[in-house]
Amino acid sequence: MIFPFTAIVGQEKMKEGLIVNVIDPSINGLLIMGERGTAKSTAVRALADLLPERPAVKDCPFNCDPEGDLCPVCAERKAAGEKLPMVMTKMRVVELPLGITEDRLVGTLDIELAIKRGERHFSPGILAEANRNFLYVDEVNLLEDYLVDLLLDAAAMGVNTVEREGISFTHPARFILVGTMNPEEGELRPQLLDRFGLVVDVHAIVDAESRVEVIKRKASFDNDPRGFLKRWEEAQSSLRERISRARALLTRVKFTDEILYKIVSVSTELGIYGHRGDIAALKAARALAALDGRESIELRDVEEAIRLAFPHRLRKMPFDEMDKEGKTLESLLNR
Amino acid sequence: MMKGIDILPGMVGQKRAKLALLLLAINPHCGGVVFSGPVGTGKSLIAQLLRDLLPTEVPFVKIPLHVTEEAMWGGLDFERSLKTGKALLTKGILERAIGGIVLVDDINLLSPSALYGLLRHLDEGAISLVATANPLAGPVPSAIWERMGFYVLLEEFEDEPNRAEVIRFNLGRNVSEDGKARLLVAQARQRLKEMEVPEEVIKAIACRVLAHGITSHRRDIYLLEAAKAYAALWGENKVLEAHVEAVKSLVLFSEPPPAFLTPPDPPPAASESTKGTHAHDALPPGPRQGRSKDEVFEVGATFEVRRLFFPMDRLRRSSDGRRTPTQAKKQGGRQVGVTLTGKKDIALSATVRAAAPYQTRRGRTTSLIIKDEDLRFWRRAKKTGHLVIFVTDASGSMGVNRRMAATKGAIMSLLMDCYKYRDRVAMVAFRGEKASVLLPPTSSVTLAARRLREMPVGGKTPLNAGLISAYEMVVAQARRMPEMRFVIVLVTDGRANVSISKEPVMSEFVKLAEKMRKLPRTDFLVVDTEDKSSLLKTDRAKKVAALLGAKYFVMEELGAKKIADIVRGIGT
Repeated sequence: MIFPFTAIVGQEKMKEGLIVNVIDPSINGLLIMGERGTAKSTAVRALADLLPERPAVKDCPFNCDPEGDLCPVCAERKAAGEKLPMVMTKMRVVELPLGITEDRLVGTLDIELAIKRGERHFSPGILAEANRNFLYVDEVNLLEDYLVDLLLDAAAMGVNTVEREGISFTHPARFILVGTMNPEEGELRPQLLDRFGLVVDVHAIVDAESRVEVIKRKASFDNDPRGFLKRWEEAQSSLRERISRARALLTRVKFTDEILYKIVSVSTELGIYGHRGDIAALKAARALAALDGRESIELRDVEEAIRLAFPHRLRKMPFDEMDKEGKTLESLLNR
Repeated sequence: MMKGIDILPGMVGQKRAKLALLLLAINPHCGGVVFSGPVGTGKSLIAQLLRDLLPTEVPFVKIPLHVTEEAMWGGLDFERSLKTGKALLTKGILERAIGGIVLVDDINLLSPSALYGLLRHLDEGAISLVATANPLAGPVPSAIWERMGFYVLLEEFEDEPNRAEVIRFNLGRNVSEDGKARLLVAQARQRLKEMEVPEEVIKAIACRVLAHGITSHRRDIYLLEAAKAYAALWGENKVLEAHVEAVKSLVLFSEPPPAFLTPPDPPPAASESTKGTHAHDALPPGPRQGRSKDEVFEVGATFEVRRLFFPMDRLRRSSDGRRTPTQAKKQGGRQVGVTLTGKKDIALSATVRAAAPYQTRRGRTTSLIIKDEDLRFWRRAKKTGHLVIFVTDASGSMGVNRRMAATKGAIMSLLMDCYKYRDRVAMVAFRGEKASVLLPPTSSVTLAARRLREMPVGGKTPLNAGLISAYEMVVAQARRMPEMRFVIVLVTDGRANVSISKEPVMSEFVKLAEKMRKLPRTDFLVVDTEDKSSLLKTDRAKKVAALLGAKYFVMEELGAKKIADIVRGIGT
């Protein structure tokens, strides 16, 4: 049983960052910065659980989308004229453990088949499991640098290419990357920060009444999960529908030059490296408009999107506090 | 006296420890407990006791420190797989522990991958944890603190009857032979299911946690669960505010606990024979001379010192990339991959993988046929190069003419340099009567910068105490990370005037310096903060540097302009 997404108290920014990624996965993920005990992993799990089921090829280790990119095995079957069997599955949260080996991440030679039959086959890794799912990396700043590189490469390309131990294999690896980090426990290199589409800062709630609500909901869920889910079902299905509608609407959302110039003027003024930030901001703005059921992006979407897409891309000394940058950004937006 | 708690007759004193064990045994939702304390306080013994409290069907599994990944997670059973030709899996420790308790001794030394497994299972509520930690061996990961309901600091017993009792207890182990404790726990577990929690108790919990300055929502939940267990222990069916109050001090500890930030009394490093002379350590760090007020100075101008550690960095890379014969012999370091050439350090799984596709062709019947060309060897890389420990003089004399602002600027400049080279950093400050660890080793330069900003000055100059703190830190870290190199950066004007023993400051320092120089893989850098234009300059720091065998710079010389000299100086 999973705690319902809509029953999470507060943390609106984080919820928004996750939802826009679900509406448009090409936004390239979310980095959640903040203290422990702020419902980060609860929120990701809850959102995956809320989303509607989608079709997948039955028993495919890559969870292939019958209508989308296929892994080599499914592609071969389809080419041979076979009708691929389908199942409906929920999105999952695949977790990347900190101590993971490269083998386990990208996949490697299937040792059983190799010994038994002397054949070389690919044994899928975490990136295969993550295809069309969430890939959740807790404390991504503590992951070995070379693994972060591998991970972000796959995330950007949407494919995982393995060339090792006589194995040559490529499979789709389109996942929504969600990383968390507590900046007090080590930084993430700027070039890696830049690869995360959006970022949110989360803080624990310090208002006693809301905290009471947190405890009550958690206790009530633990006591009687079924009853609790039932009470929240209406809110859940309403959000589920909004997200589905937004997904369908996304490509029809239009943007004007004015919107583009707004984004670019802020990013140049802030001295943001590269173009990833601009693109992420535009896509996030589009997803926000779609979530609101509109076909045009408005200024408020852009402002909100910039708050999600720029903070981690600011040129900064490692010692500047996030708050300070936030203020600069806010003063620009409020001009 | 509380009947519930005295039920563990074997455990002497240590009421908090007993209570924590009982609560965890009753309600696994309490997360876990860490028992911390110096060697010989019975941490492990106490942690073991939990087994005697639990219903027999609850799994109780110990994770050894050097647990392999296979053992932890389960993995391919090579022997049986090769014999049968089928991939057979072994059950990992964690899987066996589900629904029960995991015991880890010295959790601060546990490997990252084992730690990850623990965290995940803790988050899923699949296991609870009972762990011990020795503060001197290094900090407990804060991810663990976050998920522990209770923290208990164990102390040594001073009084004789208690000590005698401990010995008796050690001889005949079985504490709860009459099974009373176990029965009590079992009954409480039953009551827990029907426990009622009134709204005002929840409010009281939220308010108490906030009043403690803690923001993680996990703390509220743990406090609630602990209060429920406590109520159940006392035969109640409703949680009262008094129950919350009774367990509060167990649950609301700040992280990391103070014991980790301020090391206990400095050990008699310079003078073995002066036990009992640390009495003055207990005095508040108050100034007795010079400036009489604590002040916090802002961080002064920073400057570029980027090439300062350059020669050291080059050292590090050569050990990362090229393998010198000595390093090839050692099997230290992290396995980063496999190679075709090597000597003894065979990578078994890679070797088997390489051999696997040829087995049919080679005519395997029972065991695997491995040829020379299949052999694979580990390629290892050393962990990040340096731990830079800043030992900063924060005495009153540093505040004269705002010297501290410039000093903070210099330290900040060095910190930026560390950030650039991804060194780990730690900070020790000494002032008044003692030294304190402002920041245990971390890779977060941001945090170091914050601690630097907040550092106050005032009081006397216990330079020796500062050095001892750094000494202990190096010893503890060197044990954990055999590849780590250390740089102790001593920032001071050298006017030491407090000793840790009865000995005069300077003769104590001479002995201490001799000891420091024997530290493994450690370089020293002394940054002299004295105003050299002053008529009263003493150049004491220069003497300190000479005795430590340290490189020595006057603060103003650290700037980029003087780089050439520094580079020539260090690392030779």
